[in-house]
Amino acid sequence: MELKSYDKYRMSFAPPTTSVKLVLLGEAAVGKSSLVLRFVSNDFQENKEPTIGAAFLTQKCTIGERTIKYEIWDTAGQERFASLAPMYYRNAQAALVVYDITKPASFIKARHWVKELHEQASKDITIALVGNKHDLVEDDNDGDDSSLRKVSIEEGQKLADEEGLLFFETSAKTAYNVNEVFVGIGSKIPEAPLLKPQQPQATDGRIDLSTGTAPAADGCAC
Amino acid sequence: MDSADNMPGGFAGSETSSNYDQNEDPVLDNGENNPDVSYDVSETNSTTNKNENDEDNESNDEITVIPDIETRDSGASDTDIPAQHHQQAENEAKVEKNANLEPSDGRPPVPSRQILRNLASVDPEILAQASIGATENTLEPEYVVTDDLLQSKLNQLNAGFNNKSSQVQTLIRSATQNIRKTFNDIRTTVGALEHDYQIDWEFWANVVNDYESVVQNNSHALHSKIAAGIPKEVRGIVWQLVAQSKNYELEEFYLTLKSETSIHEKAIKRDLTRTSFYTAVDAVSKGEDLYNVIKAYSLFDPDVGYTQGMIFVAVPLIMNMTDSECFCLLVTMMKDYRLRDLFCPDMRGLHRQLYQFDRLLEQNSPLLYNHLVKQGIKSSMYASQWFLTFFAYKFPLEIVLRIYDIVITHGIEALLKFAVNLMLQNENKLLSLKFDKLLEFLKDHLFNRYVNDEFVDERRFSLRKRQGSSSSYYNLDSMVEDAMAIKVSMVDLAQFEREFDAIYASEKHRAEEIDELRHENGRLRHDIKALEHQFSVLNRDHVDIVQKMVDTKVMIPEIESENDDLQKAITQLRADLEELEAKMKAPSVSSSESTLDALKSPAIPQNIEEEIQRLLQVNAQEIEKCTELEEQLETLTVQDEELLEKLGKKRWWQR
Repeated sequence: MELKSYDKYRMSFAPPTTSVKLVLLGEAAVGKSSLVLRFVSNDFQENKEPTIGAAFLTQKCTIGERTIKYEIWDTAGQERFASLAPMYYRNAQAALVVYDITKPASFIKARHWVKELHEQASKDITIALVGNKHDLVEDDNDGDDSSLRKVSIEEGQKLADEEGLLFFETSAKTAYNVNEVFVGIGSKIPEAPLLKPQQPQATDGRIDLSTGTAPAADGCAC
Repeated sequence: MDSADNMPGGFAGSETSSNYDQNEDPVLDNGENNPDVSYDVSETNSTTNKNENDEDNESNDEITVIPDIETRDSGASDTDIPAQHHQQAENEAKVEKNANLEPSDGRPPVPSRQILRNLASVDPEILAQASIGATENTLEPEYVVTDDLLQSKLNQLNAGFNNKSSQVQTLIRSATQNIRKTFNDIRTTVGALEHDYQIDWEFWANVVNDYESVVQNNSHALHSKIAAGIPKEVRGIVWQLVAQSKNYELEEFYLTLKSETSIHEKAIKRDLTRTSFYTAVDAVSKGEDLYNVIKAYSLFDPDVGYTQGMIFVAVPLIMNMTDSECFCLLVTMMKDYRLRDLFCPDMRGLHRQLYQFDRLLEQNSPLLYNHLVKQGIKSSMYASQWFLTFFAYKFPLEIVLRIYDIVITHGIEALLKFAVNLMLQNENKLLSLKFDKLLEFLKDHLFNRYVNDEFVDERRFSLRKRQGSSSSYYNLDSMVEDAMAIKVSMVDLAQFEREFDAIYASEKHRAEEIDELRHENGRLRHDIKALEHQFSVLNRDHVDIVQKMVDTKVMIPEIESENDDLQKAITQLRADLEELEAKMKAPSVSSSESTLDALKSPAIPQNIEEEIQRLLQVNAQEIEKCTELEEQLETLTVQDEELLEKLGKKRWWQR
C-alpha cells in the first residue's frame, strides 16, 4: 500500500530519471570525444577527427536506484573555440575537465578551465578532473625514467583536493575507469526533486529531512 | 536622383530603383560592400586605399573600417559601385573613365544607398536589359538573386585585382595565361578520350579565356553549368581563374615558407591524421602537400596561424591543383572571400555567418526558427561546422566539391543558401523532433534527403558505407539546384551584418565592462582581504586588551583588600605609636620621681640585690617547707581520723 502511493508520487512529481547537463572541457587532442564515445557507445576510434564547434550526445546511467540521463556537450579543444565554451558550461550541472597525463601543457590548461568554471559556471557545478590516456603508462614500473607519464597521480589528486574536484585517471582506449567517472559524478549530483519543497517524500517528515539535507551537504562540499 | 549624374550607365535612375526607398538606408554601411568601396577609391588614391585594405585584412576588424565608409557615405563610395557595374558592362575602358570621373566629381551628396541597392538586387535585371537581352529576360526570379551573388563576387574580385600593384597584376596575368595553357593541354588530351559524359569544352574554354564576358553575356548558361558541377578535369583550373588566385610571386614565397618551421606543426600533423578526408588525400599522395600548405599558411598569416577546420577547407583544393597553387587559392580565399574572419582567433566571421543564417532561417521558415528557439538549439551548436569546413566535416567529398564550385564563383555567402536549404528540405522532420533527436538529426542526417531513391534503404547505414558506394549515391544536382533557389538577398545580408556588428560591438562592450567589473571586483576583494587582515590584527589587539582589563579587574579587589589591610595596619601602627607616645609622655610627666627612682635603684648596691634574691629564695624554700609540713599535717590528720574510726569500730565489735 505504501509502496503504491510512493510510486504514484514518483509518477506525478519526480520522473525516474534525472537529466544532467554535462560539459567536457580540455586541451585539443586529450581525448574528450573519445571518453564520450567510450561512455556512450563503448567504442574507441584511433585518430578520431577533431571536434569542430561542439558535439552533443546523450547516455543514461544507472546509479543505485537512480537513473541519470547525461546530456553531454563535447566541446572543441582548440584555444580559439574557447569563446564558444561558455554557452555550453553556463547551465551545466557537471563538467569533466580532461587532460592528457603524457602532456604537461594539457594539465596547465586543465587548471585554467577549473578556474574559469569556478568563476563563471553555476555555483553548485560538480567538476571531475580526468587524466586520460592511462593506457600509455599502464605498463610502467615505478621510477621508470622512460615513462611517458608527465603528470603524476599525486599532482592530479592535489589539484582535485585543492579545488574540491572529483579525480580520476582513465583510458578511453581500454575503458579503464571511464564509467566510474560518470557514476562518480552522478552520485555527487543532488537528486533534483529533493531540493524542492513538493518532493515526493514530503509526506514523511523524518525520511524527508535526513535525505533532504544530505544532498545539500554534498552541494556545499563541492 | 543625383546619383544618376555621376553614374556611368545611370542605373540609379532606373525605375526599379525607386522600389527601394530611403527607409532602408542602413544598407549602405554594411561590410559586404566595404571591399568594393575601398578598392574603388584606391583607383584614385592607391596608397590610402592600400592601407585600408591592409587594415581590413590584418586587423580583421570591421568596426575600424565602417566609420570610415560612413564618413564618406554619400561621396566616393557611391561612385565606386556604379563604376563596377560599368566595368561589367563595358570593361576596362570604363574603369579608366571611372578613375577620371571620381576626382572631378567633387563628392556631391549622392544618396548612395540607392546605388548599393541597385548593385544588390536590381542590378542583374538592369544588366540583362542593358547589355544582354532575350536570354536574360527569361531568368527566374531566384536566379536573379543567384546571379547577384555571382556577379557581385566577380565585381569584388575584379576590384581586388585592380587594387593590386601593376607588378602583381602582371604576375597574375601571366600565371593566368599559364593556367589557360594547361587547360588547353587538358582539353586536347582528355577531350580526345571517350567519356561517359560529355564535357562542353567550348563553353569551358570560354569560361577559362574570358570568364568576365561569360558572366556578362551568358550568365544563365554559366549558372546552370556551375550548378551542374564543374567537370573534375578542369575544376581546379576554373576555380583558380575565377578567383584570380595564381600568383608566381606568392608561389615562390610558398616555396620559402614550406621549408620553415611553424609553431603549429605539431597540431597540424596531429589533426591531419585525424581528418576523415585525409585518406582520400593520402590516396593520391598529397598528404605531404596538404601539410605543407597548411603549415605555410600558418607562417604566412601568424595572426590566424592554424585553426582546426582549415584542413577540411584545403582538402578539396589540394585534390584539384598543385600545392603551390593550392596555397595561392587558400590565401585568396582567406583574403578575398573573407574566410579569414572565420578562422581568426575571435572567429568573428563565424559568428557573423551564424547570425545571418539565423535571420535567413527566420525569414524562410519562421515556424522552424521558432521551434529551434523553443527547443533551446542555437545555430552555433550545429552549423559552426558547416561554415568552418564548408560542410566537409560530416559530409562526403563529392558533396563538398559541388559546394566549392558554388562558393568559389558566388562567394562564401552561398554557404548560407546550402545551409538554409538543408533546413527547409528537412523542415517537417525537424519540426517533429525534440532537443536531443533534433541535434542528432542536424548533425548527421540532413543530407539524407538527397540520397538517391535507389539507395534509400541504405539510409540507416553509416557514412562509411555510403562512401564506398558509387558517386551517384546523392542526388547532388537537385541539392545544388534547391540551394540555389533559396533567395539570399545581398541587401538583407548587408542588413544582417550591420545588425550583427551592432550586437557584436555591444556584446564586446559588455564583455569589456564585465571584465572591468571583474577586475574592479578583484581589486576590491584584495582590499577587503587587506582590511580583513588589519581588522583581525586589531581584533587580536582588542582581545589582548580586554584580557588585560579582565586581569586588572580581578586584581582590583585583591588590591583593595590589601589596601584595607594596610590601612588597618597603619591605624594600628598609629594607635601603637600614640600609645607609645602616651607612654613616653606619662613617664616623662613623673620624670623627676622616676628619674629619682631610676637614680636610686641603681644606687642599691649589688650585694644587697643579691641578698634580696637570696632571701627571696630562702623565703621560697621556707614557703615550700611550710607547704610540705602542712601537707604532712594534713596526712597525719587524715591518718588520725582513720585511726579514730578504726578505734570506733573496734569498740562497737567489742560491744
